[in-house]
Amino acid sequence: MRVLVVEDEAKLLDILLRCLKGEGLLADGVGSAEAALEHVKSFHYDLVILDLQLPDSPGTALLRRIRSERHAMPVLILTARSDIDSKAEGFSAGADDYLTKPFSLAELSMRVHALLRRAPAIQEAILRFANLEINRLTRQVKRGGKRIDLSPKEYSLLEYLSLHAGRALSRSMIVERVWDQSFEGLTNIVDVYIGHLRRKIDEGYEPKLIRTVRGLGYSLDAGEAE
Amino acid sequence: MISRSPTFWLVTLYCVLLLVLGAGFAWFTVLTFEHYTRETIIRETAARSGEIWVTAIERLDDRTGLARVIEQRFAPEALDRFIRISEGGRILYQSAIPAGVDARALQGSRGKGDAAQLRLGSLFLNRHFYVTPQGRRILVESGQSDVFAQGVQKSLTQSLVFGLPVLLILAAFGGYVLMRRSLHPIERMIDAAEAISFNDPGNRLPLAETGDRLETLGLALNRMLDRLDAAYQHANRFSADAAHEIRTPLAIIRGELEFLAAQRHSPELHAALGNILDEANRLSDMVEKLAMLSRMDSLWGKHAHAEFDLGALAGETMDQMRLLADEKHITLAPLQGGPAPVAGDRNRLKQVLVNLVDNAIKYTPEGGRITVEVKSLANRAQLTVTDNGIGVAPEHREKIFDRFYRVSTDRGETGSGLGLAIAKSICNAHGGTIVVDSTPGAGSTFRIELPLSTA
Repeated sequence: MRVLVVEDEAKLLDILLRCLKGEGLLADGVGSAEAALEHVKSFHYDLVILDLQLPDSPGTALLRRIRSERHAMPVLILTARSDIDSKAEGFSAGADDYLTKPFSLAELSMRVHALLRRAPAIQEAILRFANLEINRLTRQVKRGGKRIDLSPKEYSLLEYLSLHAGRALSRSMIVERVWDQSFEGLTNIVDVYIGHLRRKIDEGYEPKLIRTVRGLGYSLDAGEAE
Repeated sequence: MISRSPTFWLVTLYCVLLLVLGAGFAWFTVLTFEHYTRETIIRETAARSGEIWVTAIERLDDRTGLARVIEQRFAPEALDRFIRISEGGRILYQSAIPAGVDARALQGSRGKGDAAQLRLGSLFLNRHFYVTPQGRRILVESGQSDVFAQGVQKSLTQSLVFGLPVLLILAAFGGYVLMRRSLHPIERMIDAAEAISFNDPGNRLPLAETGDRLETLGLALNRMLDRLDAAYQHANRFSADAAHEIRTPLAIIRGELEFLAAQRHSPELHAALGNILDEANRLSDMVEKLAMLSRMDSLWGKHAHAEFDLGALAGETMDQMRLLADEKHITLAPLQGGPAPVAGDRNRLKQVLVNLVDNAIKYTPEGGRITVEVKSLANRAQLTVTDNGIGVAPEHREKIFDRFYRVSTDRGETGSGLGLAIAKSICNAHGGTIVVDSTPGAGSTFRIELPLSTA
């Protein structure tokens, strides 16, 4: 899988490339719209990550150009502008996803993977982590064969964590997915729910599955502890 | 209220002046009248005395003839006059005594003095001794009662005393109407000034096209508004630009830190990295909020939104936040009140509710109680969030809606200091208001009011 990153800020470009390579992808980086167009014409890319503010032309103009030349690869827009209008403009220019700076690398790689999945993800109806079992159809949760009752929010939180097991999910990502945008900034609600979830899922069981990753958030991890 | 208006004071001042002037004028008129009538009577009686003498001199010894001629020529009774001709105490002729004159005083006055002007009650009496060619000394007394003049004076005083208040009332009313008319442009400017908000460059004071200082004032105020608007927009653009410019460096910092945090380190370094990341996240949060604030400010009334029930939104928000309250053993009472349809951005208004309830939870001690009520008033939807927490001191009440304003200087408090500023700008963008009532130590009530949807 080959990814093109169009970002004029050299340091950020470097971080993006390192992150993508860390995810096992081939990644090229360019710093201008002109160079980006050259690359898109010369190579086959499975994904383009595009900064909207480029020195030679607006990112949306470049995106329209790419689409007009019948390149159909998914495009993830990266921008410093978070208002609805610029998001709408990005999508109408042909973007597939949108990420606002500053973003967390965890979120970027999750979005990249989602975009690179050609077909809808076929996910197991039953997720298993050690002796934890989550049935996504019946929304039933069992630990060590014992049924655990969760509130709808607790279940959504657990499901979100388990679908991205092994990754640290930041509080704002969790708030955005499990609650909604209006809870922006109210990240303590995540801590409260994680506390409740731990009491139900982890208390009295081994290994502990829900982990706190300092500065990053929470993760569900069945792997051996560090 | 009215006693402080310039109209009231001007009309009052004007009436007091008019009263003083009117009273002075009336007083002066009455005095002048009195003086003038007296002078006239005195002059007349003196002159008449001479005429009487010329008429009487021929008939001093013919009493009947004398009486007839005097009555014919001077008609004393008909004209409130008194005429007496005597010689050494012997009366040659005496007319009837006019009404209101003491007869005894007239009796007593006989023979006294030589040539004099007396006043006996209402009677002005001129006495004059004449000497005939034969050497007889004849006393001619010519009097005139001022009863009639007094009557005129009385009715003059009366009409002035009654007329003046009527005049005053008319003048006050006229003055008030006149003032209102001349102040009308100012009142219009006041109304417009009250309604002016920022980010509405079209909204300026109506000009009084009077061509005078009033128009100049309007022009000057409008130019001041232009400058204020420009300054406000500049400040707003600054925070938007600053938030924008910070994003990329912050993205780099976060990215590098995440790389570092993913590697194996000593526990100390790991903890330090975690701390830095936490702070970077807080900064990101703040940047996002600042950007949102400036967006809200420039959004002012531009977006048509969907209609929804504020009550349902409040109920939903409270359900989602109940656990936060439970955690602190605070009772989040069930929603009170009924539905209230409003139009707007549901997510943003929900954010206001989240902020208010979160604040209430934060500033209410364990075991406290929070109630939320939604009401629809005449044309407003009202939502109140009441807690029995620590409250807000009066000096902070206005400022807590300011950006980065904190009641306590303790920076350890969670939150960015932007929550209520955001709540306020969202309410304002929906044409609504947010205020707080509070008793320190007893609790606070935050009240938002939004236009009721009429659709």
